[in-house]
Amino acid sequence: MMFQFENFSDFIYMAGHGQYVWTAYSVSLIIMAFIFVMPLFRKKNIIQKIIKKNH
Amino acid sequence: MNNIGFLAILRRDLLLAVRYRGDLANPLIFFFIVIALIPLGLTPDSKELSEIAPGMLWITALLASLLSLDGLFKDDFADGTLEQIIILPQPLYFMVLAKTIVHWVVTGLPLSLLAPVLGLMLSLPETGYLPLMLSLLIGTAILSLIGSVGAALTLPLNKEGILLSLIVIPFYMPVLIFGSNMVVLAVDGLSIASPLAIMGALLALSLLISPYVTSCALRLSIYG
Amino acid sequence: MKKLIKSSQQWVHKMASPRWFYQISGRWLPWLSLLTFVSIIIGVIWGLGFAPQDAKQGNSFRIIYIHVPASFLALVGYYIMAISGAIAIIWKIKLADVVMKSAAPIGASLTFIALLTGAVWGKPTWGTYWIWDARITSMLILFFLYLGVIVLQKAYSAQGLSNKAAALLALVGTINIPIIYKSVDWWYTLHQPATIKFTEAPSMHPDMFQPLLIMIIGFYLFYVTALIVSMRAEIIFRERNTSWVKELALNLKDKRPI
Repeated sequence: MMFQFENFSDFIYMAGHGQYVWTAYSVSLIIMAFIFVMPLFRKKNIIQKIIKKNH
Repeated sequence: MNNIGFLAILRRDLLLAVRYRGDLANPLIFFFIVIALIPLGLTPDSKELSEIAPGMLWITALLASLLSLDGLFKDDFADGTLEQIIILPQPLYFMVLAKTIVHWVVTGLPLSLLAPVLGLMLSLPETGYLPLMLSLLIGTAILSLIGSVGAALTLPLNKEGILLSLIVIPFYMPVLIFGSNMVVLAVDGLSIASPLAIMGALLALSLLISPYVTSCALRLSIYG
Repeated sequence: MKKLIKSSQQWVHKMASPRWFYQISGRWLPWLSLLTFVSIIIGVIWGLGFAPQDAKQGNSFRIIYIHVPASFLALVGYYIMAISGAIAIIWKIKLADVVMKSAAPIGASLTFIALLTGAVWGKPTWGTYWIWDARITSMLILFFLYLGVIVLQKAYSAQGLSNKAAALLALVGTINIPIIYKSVDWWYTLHQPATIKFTEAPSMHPDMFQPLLIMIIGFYLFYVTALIVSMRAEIIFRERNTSWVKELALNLKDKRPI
């Protein structure tokens, strides 16, 4: 099993399919990161509100 | 013993529908207007119209049925009658079934009877008229049954109208697929046996399940 | 024997407590997140750079490593949402209600990702971004089902009412999914245009299949981790007026809350 591309710019270009592959991967991974991170912020906000209310 | 409550609700709702005749025409007018818009928006060419006619008629009838769902429980909910019906000793299943049947008689049935006339306006071939009516008769019955679930689930909400449509549309899709297909097959001169059988099965399934689910949803809406 | 029954009842009762879940999940979350992150990174790098390209589709084939796991989890996620909703209304277990509320947007997002990657994959493969074939159409309908549940949930909670109606809707949806799938399948075979032969996912060479397996596992882990993170936030919100949460908040005052 070896790296399938000659060099890095080949990797980006992907024989013409690069725009599709990279768009698909980056949008999907961004959405997934978003799903993961949003509840963390939500929790932080709630905790801060509780602290403010009780001090 | 169950029949008494069932027949009472049936009679009451039919009486109310007749007394408030004005509302009855709304789905029919909608059906008529949209079908009239189609040639204006697309093409006056007979041949092209006849190709899209089955689907267009079915989609428009589906939308007309959908729009009328709102009023299924709303009035009774607003004046407290619904709560009284729920606490009756008779099973809620039959009460809901009665209401749904009246809804169908008042919307689906007229739509199905009007459809062939509108089919004429869209150059639907003559072989399609009877299958169109039959598919709509069965189809709108299924739509009323499935739609009653959606109407019950959205009952306590301050109506933002699109919510009911959004909830109910995915469930309508199989009915649309088989219903319009029945008409297309008839127009092409083929046998309508297989979509007809499937529509029959869907009707049986929804007759069995929908009133029960709607009863659960109604109880949730009233009692939280 | 009686003691066994009593202690297992206590265990179930404890399991259904949001506070217990919050504390236990807090311990597992760092490890789960790490595992998720690692498997997805490995899968992505493997799929993008090291898996062989497809003979017919070329490099756009690599999108499969996101598309297939996302579709899979989108469908599984719907059942998780519906089953937890059922548990919530039948046995009135609060934690199940939290699971359902959290599962809905995660599943919807995964369905969206599946649709998006499918469309982007379609362009170089069939020349068009959208095509009404059986699978994509079923996925679109699944997206509508998710949207319905989410919008119903929001409408009910905006008026301060419980989640039960949305749970009922999700349940009814599960009956519908096989019906929809079969009917769309049937519809498509009737109308399948002769010019476009939708090729099934190519029979896979092991070199192509292994990174797919890693990604499926990675997505499963992602689903669980995202679910837990969302549930923790929801639990803190629902129990914000209880003493244990207030104590927790004050303890975290000086540190950064996770």
